[in-house]
Amino acid sequence: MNKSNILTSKENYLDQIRLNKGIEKMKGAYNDLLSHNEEEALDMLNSENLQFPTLFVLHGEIKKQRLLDKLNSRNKLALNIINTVFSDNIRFDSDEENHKTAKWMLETGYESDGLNPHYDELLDKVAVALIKIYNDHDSLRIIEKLIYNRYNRGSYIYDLVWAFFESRNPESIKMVVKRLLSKDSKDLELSQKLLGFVPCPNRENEHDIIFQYKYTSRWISENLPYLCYTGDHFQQTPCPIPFELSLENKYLQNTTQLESPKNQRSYTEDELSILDDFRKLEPDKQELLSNHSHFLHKISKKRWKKWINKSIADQIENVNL
Amino acid sequence: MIEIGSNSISFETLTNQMDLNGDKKTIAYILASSDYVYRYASEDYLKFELDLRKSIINAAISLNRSRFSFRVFRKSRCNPDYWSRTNEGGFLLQNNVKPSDAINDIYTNSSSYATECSTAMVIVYYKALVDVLPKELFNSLFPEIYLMNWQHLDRDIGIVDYPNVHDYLPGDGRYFKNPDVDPMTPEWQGENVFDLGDGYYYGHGIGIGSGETIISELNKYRIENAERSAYLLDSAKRPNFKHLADKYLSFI
Repeated sequence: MNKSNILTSKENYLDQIRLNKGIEKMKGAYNDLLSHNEEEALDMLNSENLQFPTLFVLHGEIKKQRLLDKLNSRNKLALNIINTVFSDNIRFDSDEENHKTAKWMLETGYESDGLNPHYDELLDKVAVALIKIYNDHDSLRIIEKLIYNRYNRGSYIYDLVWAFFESRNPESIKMVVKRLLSKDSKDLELSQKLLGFVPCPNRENEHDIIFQYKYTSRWISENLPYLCYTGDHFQQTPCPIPFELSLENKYLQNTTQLESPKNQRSYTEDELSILDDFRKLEPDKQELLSNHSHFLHKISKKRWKKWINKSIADQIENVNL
Repeated sequence: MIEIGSNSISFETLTNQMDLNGDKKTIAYILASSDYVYRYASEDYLKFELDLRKSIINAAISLNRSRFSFRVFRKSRCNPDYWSRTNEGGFLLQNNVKPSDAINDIYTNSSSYATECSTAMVIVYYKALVDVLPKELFNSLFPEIYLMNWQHLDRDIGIVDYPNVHDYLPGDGRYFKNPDVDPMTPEWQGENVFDLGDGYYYGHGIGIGSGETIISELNKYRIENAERSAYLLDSAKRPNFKHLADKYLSFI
């Protein structure tokens, strides 16, 4: 590339060399440019279109060359995050500038996942911070891609999976369901593991993927409003159930707010009295009533209200008719 | 209550017949004095469960006394003579070694190993089985071992995490959850432990202590202004004692 076009190109010159010719060539080009024209080299580093992996691989050189003070605040903050991760003393300040920097690191950096173990660890911390500190659910799509790509190549996924579900965002569940349609068998395998909380029959039948997808989608669509987050994860138990269907909520048509730290609203006195009887029922009867309640509420709120105010015995009789 | 065949058996009879003491006596007492009926096909099956539970306790205490360290999966390490470290930080049995030797090496060359608490739990289960089963049987049952949290356990161990159990018994796997963990230290989102009896637990990374000790350690790794304390979940993990006893009894 002609150097006069370097700063006008959409793609950063240093990124281009890194992506097309490798890290060592990029380091060489950077050092060459720096020795001839420091200002231009710094402009490239500080340009808006720089991708994080380039800064990451140059962070050692930048430190040696004592250029830290000449970097923009995005790069300074990113290098500070790198240093804290490597010194095992990581902290993300909750201000907007740190948030933007973390987002830039993940968005421009996720495609280079696997660069080296330090880099992957750093991406984990950034992804977890975006969900747990900055509540940035726009990042879920990228985190989902990272999880599946890593699972495919046998890399560590468990902190990302934890943060992904800790978001308590219904979209995270829907993304996993969509992956059931992937042609990649590893994607399917992971989705089946992550969706272990859906009571899908015939899960073992690998040839019936379309059935699995349709059944799971239908189950999620019907039960999503009544799911509670349990916090179960893969480090805790062989078959984690991160989400649990609350039959009580479904029965009372109490839609759960997954995002809320508490999984259910307070009940009214009438509801508490109905629940008293409901809780005494066997699980199969509870399931029957909660399914019927959902069905009735969907077709007629008026009929539902009449039904829910009947005695439990009458409700069951009504369902069996 | 304990039923062997279709006959209930008292704790006293059991103690005399099986010459029980220590942890095994405690476990037998809990089983015999429970409202729940614990059924065994024969005395051998009960004896096997007591032996394996005792072996789990011993394996947990030995691991705690060893130089086996705590490290997050990304920084885990193992002895390459017996294990290959995988990309995700698990330990995969080498092809040319005996599974029983590889498990024993974790205890004898413990300073060569480091990982998180969930994999430590799995190691304890395998070590307990190495010590209870004849080596030939152990090696034929577990020719391929992959030590990586709970996700690659051999089906023959048959670990199930029961949400509700009638009684908690020494040798049970339990979990202390830390719901307000600092997100930058997710390795402290909870502690996998073994119930050692008398209110004591072993968890890798924390060591042996009471429930209060485990909770207090986990609480040190919470977010600022955390509202929730760590707590012990009701669930309990148990291997499939009956299946393992079947294998053992048909082998000897």
